[in-house]
Amino acid sequence: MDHFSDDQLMALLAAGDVVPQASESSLELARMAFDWRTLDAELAELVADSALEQAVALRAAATPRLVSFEGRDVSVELEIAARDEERVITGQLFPPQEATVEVVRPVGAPLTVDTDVDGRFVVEVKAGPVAFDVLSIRTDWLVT
Amino acid sequence: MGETGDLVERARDGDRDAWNELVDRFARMVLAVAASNGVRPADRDDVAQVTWLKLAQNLDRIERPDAVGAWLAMTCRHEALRVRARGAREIPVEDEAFARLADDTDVEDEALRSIPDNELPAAFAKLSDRCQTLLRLLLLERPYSEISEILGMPIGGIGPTRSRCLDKLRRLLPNASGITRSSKDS
Repeated sequence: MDHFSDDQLMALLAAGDVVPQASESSLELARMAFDWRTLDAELAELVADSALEQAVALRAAATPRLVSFEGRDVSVELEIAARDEERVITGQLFPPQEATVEVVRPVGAPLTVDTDVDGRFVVEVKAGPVAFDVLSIRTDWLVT
Repeated sequence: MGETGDLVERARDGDRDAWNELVDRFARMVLAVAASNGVRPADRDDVAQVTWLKLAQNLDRIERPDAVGAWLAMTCRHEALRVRARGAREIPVEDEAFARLADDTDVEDEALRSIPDNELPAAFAKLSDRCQTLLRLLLLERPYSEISEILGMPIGGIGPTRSRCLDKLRRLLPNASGITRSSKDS
């Protein structure tokens, strides 16, 4: 035998558990995602994310991430600053207006925050998936 | 419509059992796609969770319920790239991936066990995202039609690509010869 055959390598990979196991907790989170299927609000799509833009990625790591969601009548721009496992999210509604924002996490009650007259709000969350309910829209989910 | 498509339709109608069945069917595949696209083990559950949240939120918009596996994989890949780019940080080699390698007795060939535990994960992690995805999907015995869709390659291309990826893996192993390996160990 000069080298491992393809089948031997595959056997080695299979034995080595190269495919991650789904832990019971990750299965439970996936099951619970079903609770979020009901959606009366319009879904605001993610239209921009600076994390995916090369130029920004090359800048200092401390640069906040900028994310935009766009609904038909309302848009939300977020600036996400990371501080260890905390995320400080500064939001701006367009058009600017006073409104109540619900910060939805997969588990637990939503956080509620009011925007100022200019449509701005600040909220601090733990890193992880988050979505926003505001006015007529629900934003798409985002891992902060 | 296949069985998977039926599950999606039932989940749309609010059938939680159908949803749970989809989770059982695809959860590991989603994690495999996350792992293959450079997501650190610590962030993998977040990427998987957001993938399922997006499926729940978009359940009524899925155009081809039969192909929900490919939809999940592509959504997961997109989220993985997002999370990976978020910090633009280096992805460490996965130490845990092969932790059980030494204890596993499925590999009968003694020579195969002569590779030190850390060499194979290090080599595997150096493969392209595409090769990692393909090999993991094959290890999960996903249907060729699904793999073809996820990777955007014809079914006939899967076999040759598998060979090329394994060839890269072989070359990445410091010493891929089982026979000379054992003499070097002594």
